Amino acid sequence: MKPVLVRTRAPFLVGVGLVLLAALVFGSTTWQQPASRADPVSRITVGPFASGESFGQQFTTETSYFSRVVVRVRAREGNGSPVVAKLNFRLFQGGDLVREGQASIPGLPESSHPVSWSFTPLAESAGSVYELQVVVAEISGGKLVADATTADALPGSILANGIPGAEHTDLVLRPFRELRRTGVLLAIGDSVPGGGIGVVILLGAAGAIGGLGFHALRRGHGGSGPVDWLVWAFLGVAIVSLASSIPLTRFQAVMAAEGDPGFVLETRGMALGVALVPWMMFVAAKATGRLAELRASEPGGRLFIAAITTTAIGLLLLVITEGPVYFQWIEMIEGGRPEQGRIPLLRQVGSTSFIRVSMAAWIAVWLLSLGRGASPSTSPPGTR
Amino acid sequence: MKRSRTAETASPQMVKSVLSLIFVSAVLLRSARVFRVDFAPWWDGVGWGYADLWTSQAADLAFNVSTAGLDFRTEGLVYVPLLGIFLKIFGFTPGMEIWAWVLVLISATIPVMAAGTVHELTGRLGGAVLVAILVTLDPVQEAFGLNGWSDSITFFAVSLSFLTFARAAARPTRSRLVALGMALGLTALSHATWTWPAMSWAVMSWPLLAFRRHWWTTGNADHPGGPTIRLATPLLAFLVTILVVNFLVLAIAPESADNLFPVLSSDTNNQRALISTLNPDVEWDTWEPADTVRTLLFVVPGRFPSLLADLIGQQITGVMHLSTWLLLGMGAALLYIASTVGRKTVSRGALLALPVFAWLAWSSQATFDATVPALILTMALAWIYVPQSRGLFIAILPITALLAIFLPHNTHFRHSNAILYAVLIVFGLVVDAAAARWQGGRFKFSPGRWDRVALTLRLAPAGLVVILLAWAISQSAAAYSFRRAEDSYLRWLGTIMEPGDLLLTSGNVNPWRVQRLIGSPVVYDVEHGSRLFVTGDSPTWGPRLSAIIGTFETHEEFLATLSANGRNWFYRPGSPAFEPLVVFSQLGADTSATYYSLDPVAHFPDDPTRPAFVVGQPLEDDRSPPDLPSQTGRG
Repeated sequence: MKPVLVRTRAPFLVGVGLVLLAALVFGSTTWQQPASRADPVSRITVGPFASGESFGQQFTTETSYFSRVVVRVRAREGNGSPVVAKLNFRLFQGGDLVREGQASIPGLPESSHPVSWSFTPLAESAGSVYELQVVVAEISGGKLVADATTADALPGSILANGIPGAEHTDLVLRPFRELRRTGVLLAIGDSVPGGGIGVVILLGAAGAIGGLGFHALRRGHGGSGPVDWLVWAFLGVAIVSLASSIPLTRFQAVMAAEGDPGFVLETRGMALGVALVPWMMFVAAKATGRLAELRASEPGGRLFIAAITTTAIGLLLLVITEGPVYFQWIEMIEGGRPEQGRIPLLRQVGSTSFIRVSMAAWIAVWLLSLGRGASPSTSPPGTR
Repeated sequence: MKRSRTAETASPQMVKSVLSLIFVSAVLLRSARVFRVDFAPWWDGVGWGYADLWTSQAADLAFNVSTAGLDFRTEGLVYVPLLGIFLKIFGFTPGMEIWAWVLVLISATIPVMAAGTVHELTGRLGGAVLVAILVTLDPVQEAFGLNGWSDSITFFAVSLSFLTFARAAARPTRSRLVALGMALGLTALSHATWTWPAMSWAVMSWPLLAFRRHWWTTGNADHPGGPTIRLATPLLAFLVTILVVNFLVLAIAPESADNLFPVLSSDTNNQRALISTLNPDVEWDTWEPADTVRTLLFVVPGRFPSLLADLIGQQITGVMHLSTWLLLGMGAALLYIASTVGRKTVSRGALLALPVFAWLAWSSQATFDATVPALILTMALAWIYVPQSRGLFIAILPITALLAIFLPHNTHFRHSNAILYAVLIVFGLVVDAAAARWQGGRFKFSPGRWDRVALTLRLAPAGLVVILLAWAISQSAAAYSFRRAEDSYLRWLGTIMEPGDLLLTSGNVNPWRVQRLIGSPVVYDVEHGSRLFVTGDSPTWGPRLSAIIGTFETHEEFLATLSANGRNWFYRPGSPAFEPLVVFSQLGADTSATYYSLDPVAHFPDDPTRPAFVVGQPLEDDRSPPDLPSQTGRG
């Protein structure tokens, strides 16, 4: 039997690599998500506003950790020099000032220009009604007007110098939340029992169980002491860490991503998959008397298993993937399409990714088999 | 020599019984559609009215010996003479009504031929029954098989081509080879889309049959098929069929004789439109044939993956009932086959196709619809592990490429249905191969639960057929009951209408039957231009209402003209909507579609909730009726 440090070196190094990669992905993750479904589109302008004047609007946020607001303004009545302005933002909740800040506009164009104001996240913002007041603190070179809509997209109406406008006229305003690392973890933690610690424990436990499963599936040439278990459990945790951090980037622009069924499935589902798949393979191989064969399999055989597994996952995900965008319709069928039996939880990319990887795996398998003059299978000759 | 029977193969009697039950089920299900007039030769289910062209041509052929319909470019070269025969024998109105039932029979034959094809390729019934059920339930087959479009004959011809192809591969006797050639000829003649793909199939049938040991595995090793040159018989039969029809058309339809081979001529405007769509450097007016070659060589290859992805996503997987589950089932069956296949050699020739599959699966367009790479992957697996599928894939390659290229212009679901049909047959082959392999493996365990499961599997096809039949009986019975109730309502309506009154109807009725039941004139399909004015059994298709009352400027003028001698009643089958309305559209050149209210004036004694309506006033709100959808299915 090889010494423990030798036989655990490879899984340990792979685990460290995966953890570093996961850290890189997690560290670079920024969630910039809308905090409301309302998406008013500029139709008219309100103003002009000179220094000391203000405009405002009520709005509702649907997510927690509201931390940024964007309004759209444009220059008017310019005197030829660049229009430079400073805007004071005040955010009220139930009449109380909850946040205050300032944004500068170095050169305001006459076309619609977004002005963004970020502030410390409001953790309890889900379902809250706020009122934004924007005061033109300083302006030179002209005045400014604010973009508005007539679609009655927000509660109340636009306020110009404190005077309400027409009922259906609203300021073009979009609330967002902007979260990084800890903020993302907190937001996810708030959405599950046990909070952020619960999530970490779940992912850690799933990874450790999966890692031990991989160890059980490993070629049977020794090593089942505590150090082996620890290293393989670490490898499993590393895999889960990376697998769970990838959806963080994929869902970075989805509103309330932590509650999105696709996100939940991709993160927790991925963790559960890592935990369960090796043990399922172990049990299946043992039940069919093929455990030794599986442990002794060559790279071609393992590649074959990878192809089978990714194909199965890709096709299983297909069933829970939402319908694609259709541009052609079967006019004689109600709804334009026959019933396809989809359970619309995920977007197309999950299933597509697995299927594409499986396609590559199959081609590698078949090319390998061509080299050996036989087709891919874990079965020994003449089994069937 | 017949194929040796194994424990899993069905007896000829059982095969005949199963195929008969499938046929009966399909007839009943299609009949339900005709009873309800969801589809009929005069009603396409939407209101395009395009079939009126072939109906008029068939009537002209039958009663005026006009051969205008024998023009290959109008795609009724087979449909029009067939319909014409019925019109000639039975007269126009009975002929049309009988033709509706003939289309039911033709359409119901297709699931049987699909089952026959799979049975021929596998020797077993399981996959055959599954395929038959899926083809029976195919909504495009059902609609365009019954709605008077010439595609009904194309569906039949394509299905016949697959069956004869499988039979020729199973046992390439002279009669089977000739039948294959003639079926392909019928396919080519039935629709302009198929001219060149059918010819390609006929050409490729020679090497496909000669090298069928590379894709055919079901016990015919003792049938070498004779000298290789004999396997060119399908091509020869195809050419003879095409040429005979070509010169027949030349002889009797001089208006088609603008060149020596009218059956090979196609609408160059289609080509012009396609090339100017695919290639922004080419404009409609300046198009030349050389532009087509340049576009095919330098533009199409780059766009092909995305075109094919659209074709698959929109028109293949998007048309299958439970498509994601079918793909999952097919994938599971293929994974089972792959994991149990043993050390089977994968030929270099078979591997050659894999880069193509990979290229298509990895195209960026495939990310918009996961069923696209899923179908390509399952087809690649079928290509490797179910060799019979290879022959089918090669056979449909030309039509698939052609339809993918034409997708931005005019490829419609009815065109691509042949590809869907082939995919379903491959599905049957795959499921059958997996079941056969599973049964073969598990019979070694005995006695025990696996035997019971295996027995259940063997009985599954019979169970599925029984379920299909029960479903079909219930559907047709419900539809027949509906028809009787509607007839009863119409008889009553006839009693309350007075001389001088007119009945305006929607499109989903049999106008001649309605007229017979009420005894008053009928203005048929007022929602799509009042396509017929029926006063009794018509000697031919027509007349349109405009031929009777002339042109008019407004709907009010139109209604006033109609109601000069009485009231305008309105009939639409089925229970009235909460807010009963009728849309007048396409009645005059300048009239825009308008909603009119329907006013209840009496109630049907057998069903007090069912009123009799007269046409009311135009709605004076902002609602405007939707436009008639495009015939290409693009919204």
